[in-house]
Amino acid sequence: MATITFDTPAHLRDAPAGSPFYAAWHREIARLVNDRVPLSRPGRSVDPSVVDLEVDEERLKTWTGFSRPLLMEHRDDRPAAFAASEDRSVQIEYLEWHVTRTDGAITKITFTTETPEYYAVLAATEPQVLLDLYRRLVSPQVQLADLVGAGGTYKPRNKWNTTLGIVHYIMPINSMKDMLGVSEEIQNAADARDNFEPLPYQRMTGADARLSFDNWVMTRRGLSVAPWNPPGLYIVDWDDTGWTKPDGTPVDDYWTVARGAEGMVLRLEYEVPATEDFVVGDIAIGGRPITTGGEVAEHIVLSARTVAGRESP
Amino acid sequence: MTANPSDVLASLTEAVATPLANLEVPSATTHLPAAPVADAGPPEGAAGPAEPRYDAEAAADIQGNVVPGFNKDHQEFLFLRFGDPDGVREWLRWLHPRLASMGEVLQFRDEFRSERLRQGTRDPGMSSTWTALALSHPGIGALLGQAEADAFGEHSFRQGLAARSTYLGDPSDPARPGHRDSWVVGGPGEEADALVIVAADRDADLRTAVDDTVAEATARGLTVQFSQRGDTLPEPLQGHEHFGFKDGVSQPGVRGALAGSGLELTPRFLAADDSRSALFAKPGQPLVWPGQFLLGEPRQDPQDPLRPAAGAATFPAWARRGSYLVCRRLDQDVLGFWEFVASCADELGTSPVAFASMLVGRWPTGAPLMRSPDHDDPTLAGDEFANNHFLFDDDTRRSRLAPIPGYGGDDHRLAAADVFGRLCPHAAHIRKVNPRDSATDFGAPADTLMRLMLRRGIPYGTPIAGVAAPTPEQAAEPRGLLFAAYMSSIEDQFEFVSRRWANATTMPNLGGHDPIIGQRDAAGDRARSFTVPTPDGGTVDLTVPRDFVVPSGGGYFFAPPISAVGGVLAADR
Ligand code: HEM
Repeated sequence: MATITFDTPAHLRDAPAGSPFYAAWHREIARLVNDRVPLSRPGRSVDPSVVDLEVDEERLKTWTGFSRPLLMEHRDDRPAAFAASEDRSVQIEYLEWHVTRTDGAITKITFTTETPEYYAVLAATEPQVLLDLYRRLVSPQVQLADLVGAGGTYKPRNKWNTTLGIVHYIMPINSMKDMLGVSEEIQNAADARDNFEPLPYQRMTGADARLSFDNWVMTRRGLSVAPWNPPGLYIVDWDDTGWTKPDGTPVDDYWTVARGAEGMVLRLEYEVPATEDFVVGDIAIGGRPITTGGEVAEHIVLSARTVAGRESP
Repeated sequence: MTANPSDVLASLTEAVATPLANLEVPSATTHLPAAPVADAGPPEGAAGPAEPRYDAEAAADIQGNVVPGFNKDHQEFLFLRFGDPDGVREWLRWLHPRLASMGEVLQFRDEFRSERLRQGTRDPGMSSTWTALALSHPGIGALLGQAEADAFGEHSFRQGLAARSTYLGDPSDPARPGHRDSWVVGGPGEEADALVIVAADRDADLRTAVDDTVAEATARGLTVQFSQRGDTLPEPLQGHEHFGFKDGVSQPGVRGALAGSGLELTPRFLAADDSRSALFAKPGQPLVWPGQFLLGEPRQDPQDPLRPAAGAATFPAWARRGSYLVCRRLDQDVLGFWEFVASCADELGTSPVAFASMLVGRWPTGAPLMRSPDHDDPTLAGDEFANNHFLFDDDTRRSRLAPIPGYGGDDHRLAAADVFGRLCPHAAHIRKVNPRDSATDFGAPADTLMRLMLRRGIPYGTPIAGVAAPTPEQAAEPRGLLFAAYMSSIEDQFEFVSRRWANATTMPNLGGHDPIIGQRDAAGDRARSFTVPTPDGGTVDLTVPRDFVVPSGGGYFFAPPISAVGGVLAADR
């Protein structure tokens, strides 16, 4: 084994081979990952681009795309939780979505797990690639000036990624920095011997607890943990069992992986093909019509991967 | 050569025939466990906020099958259809004084335990017959009107089981066994209005009580839509389900006590100075706030298990202290299961019983794999202070117990951490439906405590496990599990566990479908897959071509507080 170079999420190759973008991306991740952090005794988390890690195990950490805090806040009123979830600023489980409606009915939902960091690095190294990507993903009308400010700085909250569409996360705690940061969270109960002892854990999202607790367990076993390469937040699964067309029969497969790859999906679209005489809003999940994007997000499984092993001397 | 499944079946009864130790019967006079104690004292304030106290009125109001549970060997599940509402009300007035309350059942349990201790026998010769009632959404509507029925906040309850069937993974193709159209009860348009559960220690008592209940009901215009007898399997399979595994080993402990006597709803056995006594009743039996099962009572806090959160509030006032009841009649293809097991075991070079135990997470006697990785252990299985005492992700430490007369202590091998599922696969039924200390897709183990249910199921049909050469007729007889569970949210408990965990490959932890109850229906494809460890230390992915557990009926019900049965539900309108 040797130290690694961080690859792009899902091995994306948006920029041409040899582009300075790739080295810049590696530097960006390396900047976000600390060399060594003690999480829970006796192990620690390490930066695999600095520390040579002998990987023995790989762990897929999964959580649900819909906000756990909203479900807990509206424990007895799910429709209220879904209604509230239409706002991107509460889509905090590392999944954000954009809902397209026609005459009030949902026709398409676009989900993303892409990070602002990726697009900022593209803006800095390959502005034309950035523009082409936006045009392909959102609208041919996108202009570079919409995306990049005077000093060449990327504008993550540009209109094509907010009011008019979606390309990547905008919610402040959804980012590569946050995912990698939470993965380095130090166990709150220093001497905890099991997962009950760090309770109560104050962060309410499923994702944060998942990222932290799984790491603490592994480092308690004396393992060193590190982000899997390529680091990223991936949609790993979705479940439309029991979803029905207006005639009550099961839905066909209306999912499109628009970016990423199997097990590492970054952009996922849900839309009924025009050949059908109904739209997403006419589909029922377990007998309940889809009225918000959140009702679909609830059936999307998010993931991040961690590797664990021993540090080579 | 592949083991013949019927040989395996026949040998199963031998495997479990070793008398199960019964720990509440004193076998020695030692008091405290001799086991070394490995824990420091409790952290400050470990006792946590006060638990609810139930006065006599509350104890008489809560149905006894919810807390603490009937747990009787013979039960009849009567699915009833209403006729003229006035007749139903009359029948409810008849039934009302016959419903068994929490207070009554707790008292019986307490006396039963004392008698057992006093007599030093397993069966102290006490018996009782108890009845429980639950109503469906249409049933409540028929009595109180649609608006009142719709006042129940639980959407799944209002929809009913048939409407949620394919969401739970049941077959969507009407031609398939298990499709709701072919259910014996509870299919579309065939929902029962009421479910009465009669339970008794003696067969004759049960028959009498059932006959009375049915006679009174039919005389008042109700009809028995379907009736299912359930019995614990005969020795040596007593307490086991049809595949041959001990069931009912793990139940959450309900917090709270009776106001007068101080009698705890769930007996506590951890010493007060063991830090885990705030969280566990018995080693490995977590304490759960009663509102997870009883409407309106304090519930689990989403972050802090020691602190109660407000109870549910979305229900009509009369429904307070009632509980939702999920009932599923689940047919079991016992031969099919063991055929599959035998062929896999052969492939992996392990024994069928060992392989099947990996699918369950326990050996046939109930001994947890986590504590006995390579052989069944009836003594461990019979030790109620040991058979749930295991974590999945970390090494398990010994608990300090309060003095328990006659108990010599848990000196069984302690469970060692199994984060990666190399010992008990992540897909194992018990690891799927209760991941215990593991983190899940909804975060910390504090969340998992909000998913637990009070299981009250019982097998139906004659066993085939243990039959040496079953005839095709015997094989084809209906048999299975009358799954019944009480909870305060069908969607957040039963449906969550079924759909998000048992039916998923990646949740609560990556490892495949629950091979026992998991269902998949991907455009009609029902093949399931899961990962198991191999004897050489690796893992292998296996596919289950078909279902061994097939739904054949049931319903979503609400078990009202007893006061409402004689009161609002029976009142003339
Ligand atoms: C025919 C179908 C089923 C069979 C054969 C079966 C079998 C078993 C067995 C052998 C155990 C171990 C005993 C114990 O720990 O108490 C168990 C535990 C359990 N089962 Fe099932 N089961 C079935 C259906 C279900 C269903 C439908 C659910 C709920 C969705 C469920 C939920 C549970 C739970 C929560 C436990 C306790 C796990 C723990 O706390 O460790 N089971 N089951």
